[in-house]
Amino acid sequence: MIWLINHTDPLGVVLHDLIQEQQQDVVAMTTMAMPRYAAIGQDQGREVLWWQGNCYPLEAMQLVYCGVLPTQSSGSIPSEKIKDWLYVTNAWQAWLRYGLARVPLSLGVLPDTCWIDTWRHIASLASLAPRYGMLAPLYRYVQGASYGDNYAYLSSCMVDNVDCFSVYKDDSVLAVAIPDGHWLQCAQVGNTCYVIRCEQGHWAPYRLSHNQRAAIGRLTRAWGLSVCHYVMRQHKTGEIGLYGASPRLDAQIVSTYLPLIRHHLQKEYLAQCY
Amino acid sequence: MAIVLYGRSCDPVLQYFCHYLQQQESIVVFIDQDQLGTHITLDQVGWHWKQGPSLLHQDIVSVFNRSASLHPAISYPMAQQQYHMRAWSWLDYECPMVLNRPRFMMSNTSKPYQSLRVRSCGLSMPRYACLANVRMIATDEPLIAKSISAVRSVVGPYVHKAGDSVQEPVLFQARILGDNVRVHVIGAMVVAIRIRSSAVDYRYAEDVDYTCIKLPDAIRQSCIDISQELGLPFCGIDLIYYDSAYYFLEANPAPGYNAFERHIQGNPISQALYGLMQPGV
Repeated sequence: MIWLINHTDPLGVVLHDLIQEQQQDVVAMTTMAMPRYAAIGQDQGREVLWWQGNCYPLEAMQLVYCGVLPTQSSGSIPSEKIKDWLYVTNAWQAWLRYGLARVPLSLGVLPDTCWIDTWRHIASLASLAPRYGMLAPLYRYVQGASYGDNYAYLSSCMVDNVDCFSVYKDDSVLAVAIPDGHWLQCAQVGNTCYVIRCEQGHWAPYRLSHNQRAAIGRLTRAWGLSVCHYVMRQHKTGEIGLYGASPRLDAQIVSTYLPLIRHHLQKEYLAQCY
Repeated sequence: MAIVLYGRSCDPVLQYFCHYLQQQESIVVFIDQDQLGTHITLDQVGWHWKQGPSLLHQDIVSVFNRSASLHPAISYPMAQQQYHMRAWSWLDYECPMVLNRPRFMMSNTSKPYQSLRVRSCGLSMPRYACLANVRMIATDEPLIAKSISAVRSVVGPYVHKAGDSVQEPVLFQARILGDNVRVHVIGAMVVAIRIRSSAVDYRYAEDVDYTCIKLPDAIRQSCIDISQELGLPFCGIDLIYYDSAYYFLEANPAPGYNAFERHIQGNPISQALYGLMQPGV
């Protein structure tokens, strides 16, 4: 049995299509729908999850995929009910963390350290990059004034993709030096690293050196992740600087490498679930 | 070199430890998380007070972190949100010594998950079940019901009534009638306190007796293993001692240790914390 949660992100969609093509047993849900439509309990001494009238023992789950919704917002919540709502949300999230940890094979599941976002804060990346043979981004906190055109500006301390960099605006919080070179976007899926590089405004597949790919794999594992998207800058020397990280893969990189990613998911994950 | 206390000024644990550190004539700097972005800022060099000197990161020996998440129901100014994240990022990845790093304090947000993480550390575990959106059936086994997450609840015995149901996930645990033991792990140091009370949840009881006890070596080591597994050099582990066995309930990453230390002789926990926060430890 395969358990899909929040599978509407780019990698989740690929996985879901593959599962349907192969008619494998799957139960799919979103975290938003769980409080209303899921039930958990015990049946004949086994921990079980009920969903849409069917009963799924947790021990029967062989693979779980947990993706990232575009926004983790809750929608519109009446303010007088916020305390109850927070309690209920926390309770479901707490159970989900437990349930996910019970499944032997997992992909994309956010681990313990990623439930807060500090791991992908640019200051954290700058601190971690040299330990993995990468260059640290040069950044300055913006205190209400521009440092000039030599910098790119961010309105958040986290970089999801290259589009996050812009010119100085009132809400800019970080100024980041962008050295000459090329932008890279990298999708780490399990032990494989898929990279695209921007040249003259066009993204094309690119292959990093063995050492660079190994370093990215080590960093991803150090965070306890199996899926991670990176934004990097390749300097003219060939060295790469680490500028951003996100648990949600970019659609462009997934579509660029679609046949390879499908083959990878099939071989490394779905083939274990027959 | 300064010891930094980071959190809220109204926090009695910070006030208590601050008082102890001042008695040791330590250089202590208190950073109020609620003043971040308004009166206090943070950058790569250090912490800066609007009206006062700066504290350089290189002059900080260690941080006692009691900061809390920003409340999701409150709309904070953007600057405060950004500085809050900066501070946590600094605590998580840049500051060399922090008790405890925010990223490692997250295991406590799910009690069954935390139990799963530490189940190989050698302590017994009470039988438990997580239930949600189901109707309860009567059982002969005495149970207690508690919050499954880090949201605090009054822990009480579960009394079945016909037609009972649960909606949000709730943790039901076999009720063990024994002595509560709070174990504070501070690095390799362990301070265990037995708590006797007539109530299931002694935090809300009045007839409470606190006594320092010496744990068997194996149990002591199990507690240290749990703190290491969870990445929490300072934690408060709740055990129940019953029928010659110690049962693990949960590990608290931000223990309110002052409430225990004031009932025992001396300041063994504060002293051990102070020792752990010295340069080179």
